Amino acid sequence: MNVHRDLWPFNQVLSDEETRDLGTQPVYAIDINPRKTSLLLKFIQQQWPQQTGLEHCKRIRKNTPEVGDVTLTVLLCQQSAMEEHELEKRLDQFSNGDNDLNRSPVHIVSVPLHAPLNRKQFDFCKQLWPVIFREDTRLDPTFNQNQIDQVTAHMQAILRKAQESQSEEAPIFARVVDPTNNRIIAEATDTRKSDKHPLHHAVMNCIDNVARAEQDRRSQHKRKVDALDSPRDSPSISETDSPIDTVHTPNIDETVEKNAYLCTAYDIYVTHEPCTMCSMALLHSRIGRVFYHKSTQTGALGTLYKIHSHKSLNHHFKVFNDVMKTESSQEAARDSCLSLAANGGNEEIDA
Amino acid sequence: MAVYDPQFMELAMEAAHEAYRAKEVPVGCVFVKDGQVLARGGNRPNASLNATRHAEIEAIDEILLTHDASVFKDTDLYVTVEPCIMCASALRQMGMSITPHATYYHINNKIPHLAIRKVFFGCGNEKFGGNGSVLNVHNDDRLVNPRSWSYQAEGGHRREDAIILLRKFYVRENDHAPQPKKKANRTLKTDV
Repeated sequence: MNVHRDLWPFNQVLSDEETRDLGTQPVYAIDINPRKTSLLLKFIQQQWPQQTGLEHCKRIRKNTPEVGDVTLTVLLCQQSAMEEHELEKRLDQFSNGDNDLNRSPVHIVSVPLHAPLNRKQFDFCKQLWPVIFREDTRLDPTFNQNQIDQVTAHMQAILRKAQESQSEEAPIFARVVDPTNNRIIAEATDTRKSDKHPLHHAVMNCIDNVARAEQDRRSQHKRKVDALDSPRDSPSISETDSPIDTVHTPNIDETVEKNAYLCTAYDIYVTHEPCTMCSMALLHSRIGRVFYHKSTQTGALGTLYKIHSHKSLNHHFKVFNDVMKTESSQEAARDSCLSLAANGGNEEIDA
Repeated sequence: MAVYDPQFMELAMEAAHEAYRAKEVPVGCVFVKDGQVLARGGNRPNASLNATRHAEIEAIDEILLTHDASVFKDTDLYVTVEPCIMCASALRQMGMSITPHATYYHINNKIPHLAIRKVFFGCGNEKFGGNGSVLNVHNDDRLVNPRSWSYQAEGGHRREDAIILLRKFYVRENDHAPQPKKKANRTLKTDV
């Protein structure tokens, strides 16, 4: 069973589109009697066969006053489209004889500028004006308790390693995990000082280690295949041994996993929010999800940029921050290993 | 003062052609200090199975084998394609010695520039560019911290040559792609 979002021990770093104030735009509207609806819609269809910018707004709002008759407020067009007297003139030209709209004067209503992408934004804009909102939760991240336990265990482990580190390096640690089997693919720490290399951040080092692991795996596999292809070249396998070997040698075709493509579908755990370089390196590597503990002043997965949800970039991934944040600050008093958040206050760290 | 010198962009183009022949996305670069090439680099993500092994990173690693990181503050980069956001950020972080306490020394002395001196690039990079196309990583002052400084970047040098080479790459079939596509019907457009 999935754990409700409010109970996760971390937050999702949403895109600007998902978190922004939707803004408002002024739109011309008139009030009519409900019986005139189809007539007015005919006028609208004639005038503005293709309107852009109002797709997310419902055309009609029903007004049910405590006293008096039901009326409808109907959107006509954005204020930017024309002057009010011009609109009045067109309505008057249309509204004659059998086409009498029996309408109110043109007035302006404020409607949401952007379409809502989630329930929070929807709750905000439905107070302004009725909007069309189809909640699509298919792509929303979900976690069951077991998965949450795995996330917190990995984060706890790297926080501990970062804290226990006795080196002069910045206490930043990263770990890449395959979430399908919870296997650790690679780990790394920051080595900028010992390597005298300004780019040896923990995340870059960890991506290098993933690549090395995959290279090793491929060359080991190649050796196995070569050995099977030419068993007679190998002096250790004699004719008499070969039946046994055949039985005990796993079928290569079955053991070949699909070649891993960079960090596709992997998770990375980082003690600190990655910098711009590291964030883009994760994007190039097609990372699946990023979990980090502590935001940084020049971080690029939420603080200064949101590389993971940037519109122009060709790969998007999910990011979660404040992993174990509350737990560690509570435990910090008792457990110095988890006091990473507490002692980071003075020196600004870039990860 | 950093002045553009076409001979170095020619060397960067040669490195890009080498990358093309090695079936990599054809991007090449050279780092130049005092009129001398410190290192050249070509893209190597396919060979290394590592998406971060861009031309700039390859050359930076080579330079750091024999030089201190502070060499970059007097060094210019010539690269055939606008640096991506990752490399654009990396170039902000090159220029200062990585020694304990260097951070505090430089803050207290307010040394204003410790990144690469200048970047000259060929064509823009609409997909990933960090020197203006997608983000302005090179001169975003919000990114300044003791290890990250703004720098100048100037595009448009040998732009057409860089674009044609990239197009040649993208009409060729890429057997490194997770799902290789058949591209027999694609033709190379030569107008830029």
